[in-house]
Amino acid sequence: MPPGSEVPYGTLDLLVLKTLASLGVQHGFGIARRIEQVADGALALNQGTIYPALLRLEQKGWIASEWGTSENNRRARFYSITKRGVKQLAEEEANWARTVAMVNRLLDSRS
Amino acid sequence: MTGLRVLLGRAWASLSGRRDERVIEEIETHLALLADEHRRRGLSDAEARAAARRDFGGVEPARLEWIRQRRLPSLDAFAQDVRFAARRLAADRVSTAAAVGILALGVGSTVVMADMLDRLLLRPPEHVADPDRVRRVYTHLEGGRPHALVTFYAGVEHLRQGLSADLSHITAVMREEIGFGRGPQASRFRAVTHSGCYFDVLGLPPHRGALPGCSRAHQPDTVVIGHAVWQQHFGSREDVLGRTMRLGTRTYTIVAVTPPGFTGVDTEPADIWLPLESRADDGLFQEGWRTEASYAILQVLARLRPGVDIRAAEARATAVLNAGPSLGWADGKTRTSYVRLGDIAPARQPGGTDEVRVSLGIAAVSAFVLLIACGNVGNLLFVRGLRRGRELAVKTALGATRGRLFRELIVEAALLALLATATALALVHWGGAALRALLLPEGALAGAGVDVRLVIVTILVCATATLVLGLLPALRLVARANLTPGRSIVRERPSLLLDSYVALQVALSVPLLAGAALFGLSLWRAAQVDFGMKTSRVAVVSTNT
Repeated sequence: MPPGSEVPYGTLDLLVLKTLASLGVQHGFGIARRIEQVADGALALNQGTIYPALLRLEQKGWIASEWGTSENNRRARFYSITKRGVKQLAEEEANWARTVAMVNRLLDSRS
Repeated sequence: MTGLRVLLGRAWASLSGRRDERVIEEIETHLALLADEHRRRGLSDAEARAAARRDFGGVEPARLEWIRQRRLPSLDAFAQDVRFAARRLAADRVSTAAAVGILALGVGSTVVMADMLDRLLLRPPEHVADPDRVRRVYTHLEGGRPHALVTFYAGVEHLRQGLSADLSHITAVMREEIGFGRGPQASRFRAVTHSGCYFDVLGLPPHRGALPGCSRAHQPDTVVIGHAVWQQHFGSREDVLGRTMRLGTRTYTIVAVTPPGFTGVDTEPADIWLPLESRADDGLFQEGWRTEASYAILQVLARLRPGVDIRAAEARATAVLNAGPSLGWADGKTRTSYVRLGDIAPARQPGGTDEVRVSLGIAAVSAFVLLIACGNVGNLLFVRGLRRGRELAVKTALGATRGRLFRELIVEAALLALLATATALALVHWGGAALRALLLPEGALAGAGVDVRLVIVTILVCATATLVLGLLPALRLVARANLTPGRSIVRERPSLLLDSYVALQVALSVPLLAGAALFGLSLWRAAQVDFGMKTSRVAVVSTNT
């Protein structure tokens, strides 16, 4: 992936779920920062897009949220992954692995 | 399931008008945390805030995308239209109240009259088995108007024997009022006094006990009570059978309770059913009542055998009646009485009744009132629309599409329809009972209150009328080409449609006004009738025996 690429379509939910599963309870800023750190500059995350994604995951019951206080003493919404979210993450990971394997096979056959 | 839950949650967020403070606060916290990071790297306060905004991306697009995800945009727009329409209707409350009131009155009166005609003419009595085969016996002279056959007991017996091939059961009935109880607690019951096979003619299932019939020998001094009497006078007691009632001068034993909703087959409801023989023994008739023509006070109900042709049965009944015991004519001449086997409902007697004629007349007037009401409401909504010409023109200039304007107007019409329907339903509920009490005998056609079909018809008629009336001005306004600020949208050229519309309204209103004036005049004349005495100090007294 070239440096500063856009987040691949449809993968933001997977990235958010995985981040929450790894780090535990986080606010939106923390989640965005973590994704950028792991990408190590390979991903240009438009941080504003994280909030609609968080709401979408919460509406589906895969994450839960509650108000808390951030490190700069501001009120912030803290998100955590639910049991259904953990199950969903496993499915998403398996799907991603299948997709990558399929694309790899396709590329190998062409070369 | 998850999809449905998400959809419902988004719909609720749209309808409940939840605001977006949450995402604003979250974004502000996010920006503050980003700015703190930049400050720690040595940027000034202003530079740190600017860098934070740059890193975050568009704040407003993120907020709008969050709101779009939070709610259902189409429902949001609809809720906004509803709130706007409610404000418009409240702002113009005089014409709103007038439109709602006029339309509700028109629809309500028409539906109530339709319901009364339905109850009088169309609905068979409750619980009567195969009601088409249950006939009321009428007679008429050549060219005369049919009336219920009134005969004496021997006449009924003669018909029973002569028509055994056509009739499975026949019964003689008479109506009377009879006192119940003693002293200050005494009351009166409306009784049907009948001969043996009454309940077999009707094919009625009992609610409690065993109804007397042809195959069960009539026990003397027994009474069948109606379901309402069982509830009101015996508290729905399970052990009501075998209990006694003091009726008139005798004591009767309760043997059965009729099913709920059954109040007899006459226009006036009945409370109790008594055997003819017991009432005769009670002194109502003298010795020899079974054969004497002077006791010609009985009407006749009969059940046809399956498959019997009514016209053929009527011809045979005519022959049997004229060959049987006759009451005779005062002038000694012989005349042929023709038998008609009419419907069990008295309102559907051959030739019709005064109640039905009056009800049909009032129903026709109600339909006229509805048409005029629709016309008035149409005018009212149209004038309202004209007053909104400037507002619509400004909205068009600001970029509102015709579709958007049309949606706004149609939501307003729908809200008006909702208000008018609710008012009409209230009128049907309260006004229906009052009208029945005014036009029919006490308690007649009482029963199940507001019928579900009546509610559905009211909703359909009222909602359709209001929507159509609201839609026409909306279409006309939105379709006009001159929706431009500063230009009048009042029509410049005469419209044949509008002129015809006004002419029709006048044509409907004039006869109605004339009819109302004549009705008022008749009432005034009726009040002026001279009885030859002072009626204000005359009382009618009835005794409780």
